Amino acid sequence: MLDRLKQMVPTLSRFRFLVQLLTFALSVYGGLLVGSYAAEKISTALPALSCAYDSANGGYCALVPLQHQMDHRVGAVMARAQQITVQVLIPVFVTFTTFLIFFFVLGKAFCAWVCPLGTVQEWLAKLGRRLGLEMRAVPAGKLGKLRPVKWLILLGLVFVVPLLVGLGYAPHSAGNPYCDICPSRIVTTLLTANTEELAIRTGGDGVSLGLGIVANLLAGFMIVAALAIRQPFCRICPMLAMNALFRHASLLRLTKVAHAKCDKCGICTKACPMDIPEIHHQHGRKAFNEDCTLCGRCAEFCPDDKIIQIKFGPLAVFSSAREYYKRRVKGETPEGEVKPIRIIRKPAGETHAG
Amino acid sequence: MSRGGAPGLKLEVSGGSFDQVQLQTPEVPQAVVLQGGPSSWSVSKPQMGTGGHLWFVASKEEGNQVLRASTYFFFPAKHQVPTEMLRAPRGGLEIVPMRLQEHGGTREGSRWRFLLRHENQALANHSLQLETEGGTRQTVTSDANGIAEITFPRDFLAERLTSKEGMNARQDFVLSVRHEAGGKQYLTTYNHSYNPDRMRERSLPIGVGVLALGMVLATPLLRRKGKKNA
Ligand code: SF4
Ligand code: SF4
Ligand code: SF4
Repeated sequence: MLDRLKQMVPTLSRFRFLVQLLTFALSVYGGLLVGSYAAEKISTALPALSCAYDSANGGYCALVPLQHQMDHRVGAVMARAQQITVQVLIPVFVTFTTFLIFFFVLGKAFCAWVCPLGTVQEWLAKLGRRLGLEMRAVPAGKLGKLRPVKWLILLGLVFVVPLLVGLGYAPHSAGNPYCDICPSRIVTTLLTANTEELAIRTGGDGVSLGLGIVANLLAGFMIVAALAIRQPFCRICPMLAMNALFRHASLLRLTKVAHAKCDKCGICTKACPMDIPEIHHQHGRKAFNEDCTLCGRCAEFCPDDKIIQIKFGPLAVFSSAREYYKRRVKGETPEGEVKPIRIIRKPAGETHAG
Repeated sequence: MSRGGAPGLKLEVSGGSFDQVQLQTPEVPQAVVLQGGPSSWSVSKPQMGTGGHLWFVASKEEGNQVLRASTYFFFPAKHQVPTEMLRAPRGGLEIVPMRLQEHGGTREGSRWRFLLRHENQALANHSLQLETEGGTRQTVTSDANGIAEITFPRDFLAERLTSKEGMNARQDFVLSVRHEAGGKQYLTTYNHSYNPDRMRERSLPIGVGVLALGMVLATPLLRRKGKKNA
């Protein structure tokens, strides 16, 4: 029994692929199972881009209630020059608490194991390799400029602009600015054969037209870029920033101990879909970087025992191991290239076909 | 029926009067008779509960005619699901929505299903009429399980599509069903409002075009792998 299970799920990546299939079905189509009312959803404050605009979703992401609460609750009340009361703050608190309860258990794993947009980008990357396209890593030198973008999007489009709308300083059409540019809105609704979100609002004001154009450009760019660069949108995703804020508070986390061989190795960074150099160069808390999605590939491809681990509290759920590494690289390179099955040609005289 | 604002609700009927109005909430699915009448009723804040869908049924009997009008009011809050409340046995002739709208509105072109029942028994192959403010008259027939499906027509009046209201503009509709049983004539209505189709202010060709442009902009990233030795 155990042997058969091991055959079916030989690697952590295979296990993650199966979990992603399940969470993808639940987040994009789960409403057909759990029900369509908000109260029936698995959660309305998930730490992953499961989209509220997808009418068949099984639960949706925390960014939509946050933008809404900034605009309609906090901003609107401040505009009426009233004190911010407990009643106004409770919904914001509830959203954050629900988010944190989920996050406390699974942490950043929401990205690599649950988020449908993360999964779509990963499948596109696999397609890119199959199509024989070159995989391009984001060089470490560019990360310094790229990493702040997700924090700016989180701060600006999830918190500040909706708050300004509530205060009356920005037009109503900018009330949900992050949702308006979010590629998950377009991609997940298309997966349910709904083209309403792909269509651009041309009958609104300039703000909604502008946001619509940015959204479609971004979604189109992401779809093609994902064939060459792993997880292109994740790198600027505000949910990655939100998850990064609390990553050290979560039970599930990535750990790495210092090891003399690391300097000359660096396979972990090559295996990392987020091209994180810190997993190679750092250890301890610093190795668990803000961009990590807890996919576990670095641990899978680390060739030494117990250097990189995924831990749940004090328990090591997965540890790097030499034997595992040797098996793993037989099927796939760290960069995600699937090793071709060798077809050995028979000598010409032995072929039957004409 | 018309709907009022917070903190409580005021319910008014236009064009007639009713003997009584009953309220059901997801928290209290059993009907509560409201104070007031014959054309205006009030709902106190405690009666409204924690939020969600409130289901109202106004009724009256005149001779052998039994009239009933139903509608709902929704206020967003941490609320419970209205399914149990809707399906609760009430007796009489009913149009029971299979699902009520939360956010986003019942839009032109969207499909909604209703259960027709009399004395809590499904009415199969029974007619349900739709009338809208936009001038549509339409009849649909329920299936073997008493379910009738309505596709809301694209009939928004030009004067309703103001730029101020945008896609939040509303137009009213009424569904009605008639039935005769035990020497009595039953007439039941369900009324509410619907909103314009979002595609009225959206363009799919432009959306597809901009998406394609985004794709083209990313193509410089694509490079064929250098040939490797076999
Ligand atoms: S558009 Fe994006 S941020 Fe908004 S609800 Fe959908 S997934 Fe969440
Ligand atoms: S970072 Fe990627 S995986 Fe995580 S929520 Fe954003 S899109 Fe999803
Ligand atoms: S650091 Fe490791 S677990 Fe985190 S994203 Fe990179 S490969 Fe995945």
